Amino acid sequence: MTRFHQQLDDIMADSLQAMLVVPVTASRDGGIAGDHDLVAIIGFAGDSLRGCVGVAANLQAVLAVHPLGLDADRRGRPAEDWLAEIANQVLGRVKHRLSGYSMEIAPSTPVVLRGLQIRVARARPGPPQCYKAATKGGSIIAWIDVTTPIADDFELTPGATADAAPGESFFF
Amino acid sequence: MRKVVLVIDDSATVRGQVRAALDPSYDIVEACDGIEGLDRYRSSRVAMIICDVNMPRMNGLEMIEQLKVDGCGIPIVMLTTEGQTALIARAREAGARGWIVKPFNPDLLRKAVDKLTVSA
Repeated sequence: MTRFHQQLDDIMADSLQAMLVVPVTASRDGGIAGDHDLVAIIGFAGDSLRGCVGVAANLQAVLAVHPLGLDADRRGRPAEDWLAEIANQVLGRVKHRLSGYSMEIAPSTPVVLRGLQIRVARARPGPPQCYKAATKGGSIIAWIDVTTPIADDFELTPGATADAAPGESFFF
Repeated sequence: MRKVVLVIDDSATVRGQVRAALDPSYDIVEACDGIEGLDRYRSSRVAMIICDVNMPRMNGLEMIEQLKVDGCGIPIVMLTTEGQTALIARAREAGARGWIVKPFNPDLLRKAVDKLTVSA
């Protein structure tokens, strides 16, 4: 794993922790290939990198962190929708962090895959670095998969400005 | 009579969060993208709009630029994961009165809506 990818993974871990506010642990044990029945994917592209953020979970784990409660599904706010929003907001935090290094990425619209046992592999070689968030309904696993021509010895260095941070607001 | 707030976001959960933050003081009308948002605005008596940026079919910035062309004068607040200065400036140019980067604080949102709808 390159230094650049390690930095991205660290940013990913911080972003997941900040988004879900539950304990997050790193895992290289192939956790991406778990018995998940929902996976949200949101793609992104920039000048020097493209890829996706993935978030995998079972229904009960998603409902355990659903802001509208365990019966959100019944009230027309599906778990799949919140998993997609988790992916969206995690990528938003990653995007904010990258902007501090003068790297801009544009996100796509998230999509959710449903299945009985979804197994996901990453594009880049090496053991998957993924992050497990422990919820009362089970684990939520997230990862970032990046394709980039950036050289192995590249490191992110602070830039001049950063985007507005998650939770910030402005009124004109 | 309660004022109507139009909430435009492709996430049903976020629309539900905004609804929960503004209940029971406001009537909420929902739309899931910019095209539907324009339709709802034109067919409802809307006092304020809360709008996402990244959405399918028509994004939030394109939508509020169209509203400006239509002469819309009601307050608009953007609610999005985006935080780029250039996008915030574009929204302001199109008439937006506020920009909130998700996740949002429900109390802050309600106070902003209360303040912005006073004269609406």
